[in-house]
Amino acid sequence: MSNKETYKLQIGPTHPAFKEPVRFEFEVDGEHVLHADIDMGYTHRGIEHVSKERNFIQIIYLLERICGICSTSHPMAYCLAVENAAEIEVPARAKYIRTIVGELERLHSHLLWAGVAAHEVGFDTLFYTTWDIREKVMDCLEVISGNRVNYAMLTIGGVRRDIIGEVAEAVNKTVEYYSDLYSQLEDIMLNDMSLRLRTENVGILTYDEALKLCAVGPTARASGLAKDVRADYAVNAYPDIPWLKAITPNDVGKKPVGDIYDRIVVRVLEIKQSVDIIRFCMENMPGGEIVAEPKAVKVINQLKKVKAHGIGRYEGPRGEVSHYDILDNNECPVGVKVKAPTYSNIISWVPMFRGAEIADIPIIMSSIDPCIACSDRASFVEGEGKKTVSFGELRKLSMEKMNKIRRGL
Amino acid sequence: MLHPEEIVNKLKEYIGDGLLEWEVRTRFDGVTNIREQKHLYIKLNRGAFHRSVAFLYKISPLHISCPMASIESEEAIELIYPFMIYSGHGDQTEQPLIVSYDIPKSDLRTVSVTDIIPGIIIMERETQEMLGIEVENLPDERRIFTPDNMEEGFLPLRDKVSGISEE
Amino acid sequence: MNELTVFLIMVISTLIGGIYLGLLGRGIDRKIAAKFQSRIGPPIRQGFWDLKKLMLKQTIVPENSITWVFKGAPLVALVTSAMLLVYIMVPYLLYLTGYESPMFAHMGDFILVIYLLMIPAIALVAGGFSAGSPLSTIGSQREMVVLMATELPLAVTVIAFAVKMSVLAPSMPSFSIFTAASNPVWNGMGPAGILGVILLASAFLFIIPAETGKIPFDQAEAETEIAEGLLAEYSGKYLAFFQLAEALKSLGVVALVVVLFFPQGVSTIMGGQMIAGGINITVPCEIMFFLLKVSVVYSVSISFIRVSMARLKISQVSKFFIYSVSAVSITGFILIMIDPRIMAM
Repeated sequence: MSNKETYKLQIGPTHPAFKEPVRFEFEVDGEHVLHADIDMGYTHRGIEHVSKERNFIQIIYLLERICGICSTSHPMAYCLAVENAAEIEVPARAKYIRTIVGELERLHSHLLWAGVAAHEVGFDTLFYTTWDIREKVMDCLEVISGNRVNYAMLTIGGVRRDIIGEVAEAVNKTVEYYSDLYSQLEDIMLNDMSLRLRTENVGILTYDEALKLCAVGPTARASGLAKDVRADYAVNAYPDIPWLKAITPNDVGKKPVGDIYDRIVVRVLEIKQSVDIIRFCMENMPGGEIVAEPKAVKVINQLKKVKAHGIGRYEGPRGEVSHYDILDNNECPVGVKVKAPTYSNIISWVPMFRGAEIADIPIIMSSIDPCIACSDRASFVEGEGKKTVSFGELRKLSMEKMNKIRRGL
Repeated sequence: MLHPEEIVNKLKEYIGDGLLEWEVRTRFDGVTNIREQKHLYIKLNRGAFHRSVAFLYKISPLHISCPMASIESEEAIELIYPFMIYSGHGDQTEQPLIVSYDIPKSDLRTVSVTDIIPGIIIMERETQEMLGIEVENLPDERRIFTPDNMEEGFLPLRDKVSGISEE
Repeated sequence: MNELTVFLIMVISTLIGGIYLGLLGRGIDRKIAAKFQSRIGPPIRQGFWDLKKLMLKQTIVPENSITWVFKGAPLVALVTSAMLLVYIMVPYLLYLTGYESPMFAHMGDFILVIYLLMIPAIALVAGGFSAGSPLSTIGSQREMVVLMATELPLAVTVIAFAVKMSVLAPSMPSFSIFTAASNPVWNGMGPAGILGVILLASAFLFIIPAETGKIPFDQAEAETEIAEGLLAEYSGKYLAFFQLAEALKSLGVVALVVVLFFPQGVSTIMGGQMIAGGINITVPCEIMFFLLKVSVVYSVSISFIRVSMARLKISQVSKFFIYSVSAVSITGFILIMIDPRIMAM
């Protein structure tokens, strides 16, 4: 081994396989990867710091912009954290609506992931098929919230829009569409020969490694570690659902290996689970208010009197989203700590890349459904040469740009 | 599965004076099936932290849920580790176990627990670069989120001392 | 007509027609793939536009590349691809037009065709290695593996054809495309031999995408893995040359399959000359029929396969060709050899 010639292959920060900037440095021997190193921090926006200067309601919309795909998960975890700290009771109907929006988001995120993963292995037909299917749930979310990506559904103490009448009809139709389509989708995703060739026994994360490295979400569940915040920790309407449990490959009678194929299995089964949860919530939705206190000013005043810590956890599509907020008799929190699922899973990449081939790099990288923007969120960095810009400077720059745009209009 | 109070009693037996304060808070969620969730807040002595984590990990593997939050006061920084215990047991039985301890500003050092929970490494690296707390025995001391050539003493999440000028 | 004049006319018309049809073929292939993926897809003329745009763009040569190899490789690829097409098409056109002359009997040697198939790929490899980027180097290594893996089934097929031709037409050169075109391989075969030819043809179904570098065998370019691999550093006119070479080579490989396996012209099938309104239209009909066959083979082996599969890994490709495809073609070869009618002769 000692005389073997290896070379360094740098992939990223920009690369056609990556949707977001992250840099990998691989030590490569021929086609085999010997060691992987990860460097992040290319999409820092300083959200945690900026949060300290915004009031509680403004932060919801700021956090929604952490990530476009989990744009409900972050506000959800934040609202849960603040409600936990201030002991605000959320109305029953709001809990159900939160669950529905969250599950619709999971549906679209998993379909999006399926498309991205298919593209990484060069299976573009599957990529277009899944994204075509995904349009239905995007349309449904647009009907509910008026927007395809940032839904702005949540507020502290409830939700901002109700699901009634035509909107409820649209949700029911979406549920029907996906339950009709599911068996076909399962067949394509789980039985395609060339996809199996590329994903079986690739990027293995064993049970022990998943446990030690604190992996979360489908990445952990594919390794047989049944961690699912919805099943472990009481949030929203999930405790009401008697059959809810964490999905592992055992559910299709397969021993979990922790390879990429198992991650596909888990996500495909979760699509069905999400559809079932939405149907359950639509059938059992209680009546009543949708928000504890509709007036934002009153909410802020109420939160001003609180001095406590709150923890909010929610199972986003990619895994556990966790927020830790510190309230200290102020209209802004003194600390907002954000953890996105990818943050927990980054370190799991290292064992996955061990012994992989170069051809496996993109699919392993996308198998945890990474959201780099979610993980990078706390400093001020600007592009080339990694020039550091202070917050004040950055604000000045963005104001100048803004004025320029305004003048142009 | 141990009740939070039992966990505290066991821990107290093991580390004695190292345990400064503790509190159990209850949270409810669910509509027709209301579940009770007990949150355990523990405040430790800095010296007892590593031993306590090792002890708690033996009860059941800990999951680190969120990067360490911090509260800054005049003479100390309180570092808060939101751990979870009994993760993956299903049936809404997971218990948050929030461990915190004070680090005096005159001696900003703590010890890494990566030997017990390897998955905490990125959070400890973040703590080191963002708060300027030196984490001992950290296997990888490089910066992760901030650029390598960032000026010394620039600590993004410590605005009281970081020297970020607003203009 | 002078033999040389005929030859020159054929070569020039093949080249012009080849460039036109090659680029058109690219457009049609992209359109078919788009339809499969529920997209609209680019216009069929896109291939021509791309070429024109690339010719006008700035050409960048990387600083740490071996300049003369980097610049020479695209030209070599283009010239050899054009030669390949000429070597396959001219004998076949001669056969179609019924122009027989002893000078052309040896035209289009199989072995030469196999070498010509390799040279554009080797030029790509050389260009990739000379670019001095790790991604291109990986792409070149992969291209070499694909090249070597497809050699055995190709060689086996050619030998099978030569053996067969030596039996069918003992008076004509066995390794000549002209011979293969005038004596369809299906003639004088028992059931075992027919099965053998079918096996050889199905091996070619996978050799075509491998030779033309299409999914599932596009490892050398693999956009999401190594960012277009050996073409990563190419731009402007050199990239245009490679694209043109690829279009010509695709057409050449498909034409080779048509000539080898389905050489029958309209006149053979209809049993005579085609006459409409007192004008002999046999030759135009033959050419139209040939184009139809080419487009069917092109869409089945390139477009259909590439939309229905994921990209394989390079280790899987070499295993697939060295074990499965080779086994299929060798079985086909043995079946042709033991066919009672061949044995009897």
